[in-house]
This record gives sequence, C-alpha cells and structure tokens, in this order.
Amino acid sequence: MKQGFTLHNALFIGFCATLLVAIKSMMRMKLGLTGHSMFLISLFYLVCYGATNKVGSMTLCGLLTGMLAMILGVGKGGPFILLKFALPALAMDLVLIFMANMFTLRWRCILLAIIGSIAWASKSWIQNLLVGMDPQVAFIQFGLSSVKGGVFAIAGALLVPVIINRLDAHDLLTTNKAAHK
Amino acid sequence: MSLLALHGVSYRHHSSSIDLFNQLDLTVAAGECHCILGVTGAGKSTLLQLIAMPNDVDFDGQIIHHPNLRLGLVMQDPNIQLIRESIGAEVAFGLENLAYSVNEMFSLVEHALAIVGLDLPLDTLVSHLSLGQKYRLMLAAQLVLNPNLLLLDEPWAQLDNSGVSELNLVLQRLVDSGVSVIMTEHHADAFAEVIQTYWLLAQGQLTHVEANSINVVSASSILKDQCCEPDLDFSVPNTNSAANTQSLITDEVCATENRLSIFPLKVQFENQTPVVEIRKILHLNAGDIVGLFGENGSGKSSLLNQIAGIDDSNQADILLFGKPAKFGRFNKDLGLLMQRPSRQLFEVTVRQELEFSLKRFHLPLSRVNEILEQLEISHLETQSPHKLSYGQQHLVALASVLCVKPKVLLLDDPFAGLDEQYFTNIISMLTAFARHGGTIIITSHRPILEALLTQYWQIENGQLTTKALL
Repeated sequence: MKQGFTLHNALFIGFCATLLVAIKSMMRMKLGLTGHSMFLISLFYLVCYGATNKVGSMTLCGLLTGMLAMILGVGKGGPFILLKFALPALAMDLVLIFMANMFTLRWRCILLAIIGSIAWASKSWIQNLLVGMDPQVAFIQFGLSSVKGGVFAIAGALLVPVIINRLDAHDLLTTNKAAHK
Repeated sequence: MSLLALHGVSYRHHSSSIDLFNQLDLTVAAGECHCILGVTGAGKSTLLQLIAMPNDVDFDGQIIHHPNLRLGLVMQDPNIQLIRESIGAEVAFGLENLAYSVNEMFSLVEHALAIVGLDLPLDTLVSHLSLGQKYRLMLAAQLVLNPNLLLLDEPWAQLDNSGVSELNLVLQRLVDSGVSVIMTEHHADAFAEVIQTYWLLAQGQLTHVEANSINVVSASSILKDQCCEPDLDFSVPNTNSAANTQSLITDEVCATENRLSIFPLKVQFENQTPVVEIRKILHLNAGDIVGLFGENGSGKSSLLNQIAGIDDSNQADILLFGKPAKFGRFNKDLGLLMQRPSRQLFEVTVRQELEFSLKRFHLPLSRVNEILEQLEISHLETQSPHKLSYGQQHLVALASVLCVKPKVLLLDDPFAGLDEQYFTNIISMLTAFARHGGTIIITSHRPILEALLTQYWQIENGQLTTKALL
C-alpha cells in the first residue's frame, strides 16, 4: 500500500481548497464577528485530514487555499492572506504529529481546531506588534481573537466526524482505519 | 507462464471485524479460464478488484503480476467504469492513452464493438444504452486493448441469452489464443463450455471444486419448488383472467380492481426512432404478476420509467390508479426497484435506509425487522448499503420498497447478482405480495418465473406483444 498522497487524496484536498475559497468569495457576509472565518477553515482542513488520514494534508490544503485566495483576490491582506490560511494548517499538522493516534476523531478535531485558531490569531498579533501596538494590548487582542476564533473553529470541528462517517458510508474513503477510531 | 499469482492473501474491510479473505492462493497461467463461485456477498467482486488494483487496497500476502500482464476488468455495474459520452469515444479511450493514430483507432474500435455484438453507430450516446448494452460496451473497451488476462464480474446477470452465447464464443476464441479469464458467476453453467477450473469462495477461503460437483440451481427449478406449496395453485395459469387472479389474492382486495392501463403508445428518445411500440390496450388488475421480457436494449427499463412517471412523454397514455402516470403522485402506492439499486440507496446504514420510507409515510418501524428477517438479511442491518455487493444492494433496495407495502411494484431486473437462496426468498415474498392484492411488473433479459405470471409481455423487434401462458 502506498504511504504518500495518492491521486485520490490530492484531488480531494484540491477540491476542499477550491470549495473553501469559492464559499468565502460568494458568501461575503459582514457578520461583524471576529473569527467567523475559522468555521470554514477548521471544517475544510479537518475534513481533509479525516478523509486522507495523513499528516500534511491540512498544510497542503492551507497552502492551496492561500495561493488561490491570493491569486483571485479574495479577502484583504494581499500576500498576508497566504499566511492567514497556511499558518493555522501548519500548526494543526505539527500538533497532529504528536497526537495522531490519541483520542477519538471528535476530540482530535476539537483540539486541532483550538490549535488552529491560536495560530490564526497569532497572525494578527504579529501584525499588531509590527505596527507598534503596545505589547500588552496586542496580547489581550490575541487572546480575545483566539477565544472568538476558537468558538467558530470548534463548531466546524464538530461537523467533521459526521461528514467523515457519511463519506465512509458511501465508500468514498479508501484507507481510513485510524481516522475512524 | 504464470500471469497472476496470489499467495496467502488475507483482507479485511476496515469497518468489519471478520476477514473477508483468509490466506487465498491462486495461480493463473496463460490460456486458462477460471470461474469463482460463491453466495451473494461472499466477496467475489472485491477479489476481482483486489487482483486488478492491489496497490489501492491494504491486504496481507502477495499478489504477483507478470511483467507482461495486460489486465482487463469488467465490473458488475459497468456504469462505474464508463467515462465518455459516445460509445466510439469510450472504446477509443484506452487507445488514445496509448497514442494510437486516429486511422488505426477506427478499425480497432469497430472490430471490438463487432466482437461483443454492439452494432450501433460510433456516435451513439452511452446514456441511451441499456445496462446490458453498457456491459457489452465495457467489454469492448477492454478487448480493444488486447488484454492477456480478462476479469469478468457476473456477466450472465447483465447479458441476455444472445449476449451470453456471443460472449461464450469470444471467450473460447480468447482462451484458445492464450488469453486467461477469471470470471465470477452464480450461473456458471452458462459458460461451462469455456470454464476449465472452478473455485468456491466461502467463509474467506478459496477452494477448488470439480465441475461435476457444482450444484447449479436454475430459476425454473426453484420455481418448481415454489409451485408445490399447498396453498398455491399455478398449474393452469390463465392470461389476465379474473378467475385466475382471484385465486391468488385475499378476500380483502377486489381482484378486478384496475391498477394500470396502458393505451397504444411509442417509447422513444428525442428525435430517434421508437424503441418500443405498444399497439393494443393493456390492463393490469390487483394480484397480477407480469413478466416483461426482451433483449438488452429492447426498451424494458424505458417503459418502466414511463409507467413510474420518471419519463412523462407518454403521460396521457398510461393510467395508474386511473390517473396519468406522474412521478411522485402515488406516494407509497407505487414502488420502483431500479436496475442499478445503488441509485436509490442513500442512507448510512441498511436499517436507516428502510426506516426512511416508513418514517416518511408514518408507518410502524417494526416492519424493518420483519422484512429483514423474511429476506434473511438481518446481518446487514448496521452495514452501509453503499459498501454491499451488487446483489445485496438489490436485496436492500427491494426491502426498502416492499416495507411500505405498495399496491403496484415495478421491478427492473431484480434478480441480478443473487444466488439461489435469495432468489427463493424473493419469489416467496413476491408471491405473498401478489396474494395480498399487489400488482407486480418484473423485467428480465430472459423469460423467468413463467409459472408464476398472470401476464407475459415480450418486446421483440420494437413491438410489445402479450403471450398466452400455458
């Protein structure tokens, strides 16, 4: 059995990245709620992980999403948009290395979603520090963003086991032994 | 020369706790024809897929492909493999990938289609083909690449009698020229002339069986047993006779209650010549069981789609319960089992699949257990219907249709992929269904269940004719 990404995996990750950018660009909801973008980010990244059961799938999805968003001009921030999407994915994958076989899929997703939201908020933290914000204020801002983003990220993460179970029931996942525990 | 070798192959699906295969050994040399027998759900199709694509599946043991192996696989449901719009493009797909020139392709494609008896223009749309024709098409798409090992998944179920005869000739020619064949079958007797070695796949083990020890139970012999039940009398069936119908049904349903009337009509695709023409008025009453027979592509499924109202081009000429056939109008009174059962399965487990319709029509959920037990598929209850074998999917789809107790049941080739045990179970259920006033139309490539039928419809040369039963 091949250990790397199969064509099947690659197509699925590309599909998730495209769908994430498409939904974000079509649904321009001005909710005024900090962190609501973490709902889709956490949902799609974790579905990628659940479907492929491979470390690196979320980073791949994040990089693809960031590049697509940058090229298509979705959201504000220019090249920073790449960081916005890739940073949470990278952090989630790094943590996943240490907890790949721990907990059930549901709890793994929740923990990864929290890690992702912290990484997502750290981008604003770095930006705030670079523009000269008081470190204490920047840290409080970072904490608030992490909590708000975390709430949305967990909401997205809770949907992942349901989606994975349905994909598995339809025999769309080829090798997913660990992901279903 | 050994083209393929399996050594100690074990496999377990990740959602199962039981080994589907346990230490399988098989060697196939050039020019050999092997047949794998086994009950519905034994893992025959999975074994063929494992042989064809070992890199895509986690398994233990070794599957060795000879370096010169050119493998062709035709799956039980050819729709899974079809990717192009026209039949010419479909057969040419493999050649295109091998960089054949256009001039070379034409003759090769036409030759491959001629071998399988699919005599149609190359620009014929694949979507216009019947399932049996699609099976032939996929066979041509494999043969055009000159495979030296051909894997066939239950060809008897999808092909009509002439298709089976043609395939026998093709296989004999291929085997004589050194091509190897592995097929899975419930009806191995149909290919007895070409099969050299028989294997039985049961409880995860592949055991060699002698040809003369195979107990092939044909549909007719099963039916004979059914007809010996003391409370049934099919000895003198009488076409569309109210008296005969009355003997089948209980007192609570009026035997002359008209369920379906079909007035003269033509079934045809847009801007094409008619596939089927009906020239006289047909009536079906409560308790009628109709056999609709015809070769691959004769228009059986198309007619059934019109009766169900999926295709409404002849809506005014088909009256169901006295009303024009319209999809969704008759709710639970009309049940349709499609030829590809996967098209009507969508839930996560078999139980949920059956409960869906019951909940929709506010019927007791206890019917799920009843029907699962009657069909002897209780062991599938928690499994995903999408991961079941083709035959098992047929059983689940039929159970989901039957559990709401419709008044009219349309069954499009319901016995494909089923072994004799399940075949018998279904016949028992359908007999009981008709006795309680249900009306059934069953389509098939070949005449079956003749002793059970009250009407016999045959599509031949584009005409639907009714035949008197003996």
